[in-house]
Amino acid sequence: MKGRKLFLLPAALALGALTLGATQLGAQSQRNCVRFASVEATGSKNSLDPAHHTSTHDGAGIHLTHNRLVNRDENWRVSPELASSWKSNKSGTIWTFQLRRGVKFHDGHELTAADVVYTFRRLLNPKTGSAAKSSLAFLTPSGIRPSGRYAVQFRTKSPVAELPLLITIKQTWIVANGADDETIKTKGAGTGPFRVVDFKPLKTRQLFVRNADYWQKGLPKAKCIEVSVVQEATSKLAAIQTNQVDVIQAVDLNTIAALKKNQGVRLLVSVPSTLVGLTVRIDTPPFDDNRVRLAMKKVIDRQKMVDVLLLGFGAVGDDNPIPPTSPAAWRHKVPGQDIEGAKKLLAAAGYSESKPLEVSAHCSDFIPGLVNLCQLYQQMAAQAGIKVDLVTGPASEFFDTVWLKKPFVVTGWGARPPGEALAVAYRADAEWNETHWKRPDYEALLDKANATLNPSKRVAGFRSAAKLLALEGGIIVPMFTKTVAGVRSNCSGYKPSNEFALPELRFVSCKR
Amino acid sequence: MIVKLVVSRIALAVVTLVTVSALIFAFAEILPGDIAARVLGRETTEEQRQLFRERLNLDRPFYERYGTWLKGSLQGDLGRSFVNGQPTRVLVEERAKNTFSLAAYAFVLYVPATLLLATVAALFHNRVPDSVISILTLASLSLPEFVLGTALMFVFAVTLPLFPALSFTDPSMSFGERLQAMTLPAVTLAVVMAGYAVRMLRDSLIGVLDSDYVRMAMLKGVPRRRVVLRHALPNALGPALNVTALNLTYLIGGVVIVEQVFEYEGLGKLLVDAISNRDTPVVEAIVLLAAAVYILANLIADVFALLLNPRLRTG
Repeated sequence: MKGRKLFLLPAALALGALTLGATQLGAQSQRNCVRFASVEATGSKNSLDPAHHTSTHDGAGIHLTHNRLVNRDENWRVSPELASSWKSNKSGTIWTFQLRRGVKFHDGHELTAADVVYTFRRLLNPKTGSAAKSSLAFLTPSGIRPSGRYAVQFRTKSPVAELPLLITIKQTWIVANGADDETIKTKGAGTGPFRVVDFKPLKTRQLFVRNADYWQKGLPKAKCIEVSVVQEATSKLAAIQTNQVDVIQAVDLNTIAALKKNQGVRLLVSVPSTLVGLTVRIDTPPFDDNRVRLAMKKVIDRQKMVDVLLLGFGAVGDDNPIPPTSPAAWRHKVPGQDIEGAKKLLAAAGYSESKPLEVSAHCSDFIPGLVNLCQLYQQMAAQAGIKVDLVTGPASEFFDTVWLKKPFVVTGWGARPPGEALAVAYRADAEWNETHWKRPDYEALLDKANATLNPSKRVAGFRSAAKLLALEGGIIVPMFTKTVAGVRSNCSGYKPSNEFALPELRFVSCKR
Repeated sequence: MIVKLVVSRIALAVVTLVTVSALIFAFAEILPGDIAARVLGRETTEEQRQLFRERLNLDRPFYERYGTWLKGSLQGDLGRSFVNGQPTRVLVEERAKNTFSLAAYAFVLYVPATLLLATVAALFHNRVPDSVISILTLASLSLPEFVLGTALMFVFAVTLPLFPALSFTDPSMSFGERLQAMTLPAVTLAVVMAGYAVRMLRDSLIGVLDSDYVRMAMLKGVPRRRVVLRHALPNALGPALNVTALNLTYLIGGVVIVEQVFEYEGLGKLLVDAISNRDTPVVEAIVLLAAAVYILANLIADVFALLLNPRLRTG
């Protein structure tokens, strides 16, 4: 008898789960939350503190609960956000931002200059430990001051022509004056369109509900948003196919084909975003010879790389951090593969069939597909007689054991505005100068552009700098990836961003 | 006899756990790379990393940090996560509840399924049902969990929408909703565990059914069902019990992949995150918990073996 009861138990359980389940599946989708599946590249950190914005999962939560002074679009044009207008003095050393009136923080207090000053001073304080401290190096704590109750001034030593753009980085979301680290981390001390509900450490799903006092009329569109992390490509695919999530922030390349066939899901593609490529140190032989570097660039069939590695969901690169599709690019058309040209350069540099150029590339899949990129590069380089030896290692160790330590490595950089992109790794004093590119003439071009208030003259300066880097630098950029988002067809208002870490969810809504 | 066994095993367990904890600490130390760089990510400056190390006392020698950690742990304080500063205990407790309930569900499916399949296979020894079960168990043994889990997901969630594809659970869900969300991962685990156990039990059951006392019982007219359930099965359980003990430990330590596939918020996912972030206190807590379960499961299996077989109890 005992035995028979035991046999029946699992059947009863499974049956119970099924019957209850059939009704519950319906109930879940009536909750009317937009369900957003994010990704997590570096392991879940779970913090709403903008100062420590490091991972994409956190990025969604921070973006939902905060606002910045100004916003920026995919072509790096700035638009009003918490600041309704701004202007600089003639030389570009004093920038004044007028704050929007009547904006309420989630705790009910009104936004004033004190909150903005607190936010920026907090980022510059070494004790906060924010990566923004180096990005905002042009600011000093004493140079950020209130100008009346509803205006803030940024005073800089030298002119900063793009200040509104440069203070619109992923850490500069405005937090409430005096808020302590713990509050900012778990409660979210912002003015954003959504409020966090019961933020728990390391929870892989977080619920955000509409902020009824939000200052933008008619926004956000959704009543609530559920942000989850789904790591496995096939699980993501199953989740959107079964209507368990509404938006996938990034569809993996190996599941794009399956989703293309699905009538219920639309695929949306961003403008070129993440730079992927290879870097060589220009002061380390054999890379100290520009003929070698140029040859290493000429061997690449860029379009083929985009087609093979990204299934076309990308754009060719031009050996500098500005995509050729950008209005600020120094040229929009990149020359194709030139094996003969590469061979001539190599011969001039003293290499031949009996004495070929032999180099070791360190590769790792910290962005999926980088190892494949290395392998394809190896084959293309072989056509010109370059022998590339591949050394592959685990992604988790790349940035602390390989990057900045080996002379020839793969690299990847998120999208940045031209001025920042050209400076972040290519100035003599840059912390992440992976190519050891230290050129006073290049920096002079950047400095001059950064101090030029006239936008078209400024972009001209960036173009000259980009040209110099493309033709002489140590960064090889065969392509840029594009973010492919999956959105269920009953949802609208989502647009994949080229700034991957910052999904825009104010305009998203789903009909049920 | 049983009391003596339990006491000596528990004493040994404490020694084992302390040794394991020292080993994990040492491994975390000799792995290449820097914890600060791991936790803070790529875009950080040396200044920030130094600040991080000072805050967590990572600049102090390794034996000193281990001493501090051990002293705290013995008093019940498992330290705080390097990554988000939360008490390790809170993090692990919550996830452990989820993993244990998933494991319990899987186990509830596993035990009767194993008994049923093994008994059927043994009774129909070398006939069609036996062959079918044999093929199924071989398949479950050779399929990796993620293939099986993904296959179940695509059959029972995508093609036939019976269960959700991802096992999202939250406190607001009813018991039925939770059970439904957990069914696919639980079935995956149960199938993986059952493969080996069914084969073991079938073999020993065939041996027992062939023995003299079973034949005797049959001859004197004991009903067939009673012979199998009362006389044969308990005597055949021994080897399967050991497999079950191993399976139990697999459940706690090895659910990592299944949890990852179904995005189930359990210890496995936490462990993966903690290892990739080099979050030593969290790794310590989870591995020690798994080790404790391992020791306990083996102890329980030995006690059961003693209870089932009076011959082992002498001495």
